[in-house]
Amino acid sequence: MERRVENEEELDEQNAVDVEDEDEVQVGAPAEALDVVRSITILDSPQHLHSIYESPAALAMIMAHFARVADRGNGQTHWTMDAPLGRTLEWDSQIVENQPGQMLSWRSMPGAELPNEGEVYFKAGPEDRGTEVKLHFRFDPPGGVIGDATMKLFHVVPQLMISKALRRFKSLAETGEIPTSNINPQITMQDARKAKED
Amino acid sequence: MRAICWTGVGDLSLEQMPDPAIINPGDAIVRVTMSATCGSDLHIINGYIPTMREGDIIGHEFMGQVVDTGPDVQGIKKGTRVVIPSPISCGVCWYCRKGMFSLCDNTNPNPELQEPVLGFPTAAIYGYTHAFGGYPGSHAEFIRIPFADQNCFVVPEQLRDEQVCFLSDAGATGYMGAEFADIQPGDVVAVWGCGGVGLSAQISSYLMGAERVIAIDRIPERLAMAQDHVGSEIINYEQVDSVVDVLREMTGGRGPDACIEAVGMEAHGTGIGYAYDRVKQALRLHTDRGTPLREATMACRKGGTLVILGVYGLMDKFPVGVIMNKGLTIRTAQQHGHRYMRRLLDHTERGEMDVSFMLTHRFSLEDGQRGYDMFKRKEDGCVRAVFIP
Repeated sequence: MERRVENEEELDEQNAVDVEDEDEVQVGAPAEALDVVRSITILDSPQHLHSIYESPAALAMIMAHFARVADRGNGQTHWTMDAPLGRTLEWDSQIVENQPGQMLSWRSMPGAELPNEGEVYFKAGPEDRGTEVKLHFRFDPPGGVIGDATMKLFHVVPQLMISKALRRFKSLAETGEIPTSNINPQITMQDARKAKED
Repeated sequence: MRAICWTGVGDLSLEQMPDPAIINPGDAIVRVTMSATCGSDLHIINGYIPTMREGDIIGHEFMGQVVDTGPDVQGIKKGTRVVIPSPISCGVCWYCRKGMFSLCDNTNPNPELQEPVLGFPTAAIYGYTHAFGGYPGSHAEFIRIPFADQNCFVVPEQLRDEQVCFLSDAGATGYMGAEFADIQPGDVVAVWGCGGVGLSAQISSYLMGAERVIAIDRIPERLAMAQDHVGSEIINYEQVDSVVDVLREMTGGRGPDACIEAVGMEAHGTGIGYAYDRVKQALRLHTDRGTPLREATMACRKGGTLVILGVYGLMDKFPVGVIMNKGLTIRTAQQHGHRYMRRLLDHTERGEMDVSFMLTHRFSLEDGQRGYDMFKRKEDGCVRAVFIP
């Protein structure tokens, strides 16, 4: 699901949460941010899933397809996303609200090159279905209103990135591994192909 | 290591590739001792299933010997001779727990390539496009097997490679087809296709109690195999006006109780429907040629079961109305090989099943292109060609 916040009511709602004035330093994502929500069901308890997501080491594994995540302590993490031509986008992120077994929210700190914020919710599913996990991400891509195109330039389609993050989270929680089709730890199939071309 | 790689539509070549090594703790590395051609490889080699990339190692029906294991591997030891089902299963997700191993939630690293097409990602399959995970295939000296305890099945010592290799895919697929047919005493089962999957489905149908099995193909050597090795009755569809009419007459006007389609999207056929499919497929307007599937739908008795084992993409002129009005049950899946492998090995050990007769040609990895050309054109009686790395 992707939507841009367009009507005024929704804007007011968001502003009520995000009390920052336009002139002030940007914290989290602004109201016109790209808004993505995705859900997945994982065979594990809400408590355990929350504890995995809260762990910076696990988060680094889950998000490795998208960014490198380093632990800064006290609920803070530093994110580095590779971009074409050797460029990177970097930001610090801070946990805002943390309810074990239920939810966790975060937002980027001032100076973020990709301002963002979001929440993850954990809810027990029916019967033997495990836990329903809902990940909500809001980004302010570089370039503001044309940000969507910029994201594509950076090879990031937010819906797929979020969806894939959830899949990786699920695999890590259920199997203890994140699947990879690489041929060995040193050489990805892409490297092998490239080496052949050179 | 040496490996047969896809290098473009219709092109294969032998390449030097890096050796695989343990990446995840549950991995094993297997030295491949036998790896077979499969009809579904033809679809990817010929470009009918997208997301192949130049340099991809193909092959997904294979066996070998374990040469290395990751720290979490408990049950499988170095030196063990194993057979591996083509879909990769994690063994712990909801689908694997329910026995639907080819629908595994956790082995496809590229869900973003499958979700837009299927709605949800499925299990990965070795050497079978990036939409199915992009894992290097088995036409190579070595292969990395994720979740080795779940995916490697120990081969009893007395069984020969040629009795076991095809169980990895064709054997398991055919066996699943017969199970899907829910065979009851007195049932007549018709099977379209006498390749590895079709022949396995015929053997399995008899094992599960079919009264009669009728095999449909056009290649005389394959029909002879069905007749001589399996005991099936045969129809050469090129020598009859209507397969549907012949089947009706052979079954006292009832129609077969179950119809198993084991051909897939590059089917041959006769008549106007085949001509229509051929043109649309050539223009890439749809991917499939569906004569056998339409015939099976029409031939099946009222309230019977239609089992689809062939690989399909998109097909039009699909007779949904026939299915609905005749109250047919459709059963289909990529094979859940993990559910059947023990049973298949047991049947083979007890002498109730022996698929080794399907092996018609042996090649080295150097002969990849030639092996597949012979297999595709069914030259020299080729049913299943294997590569011995």
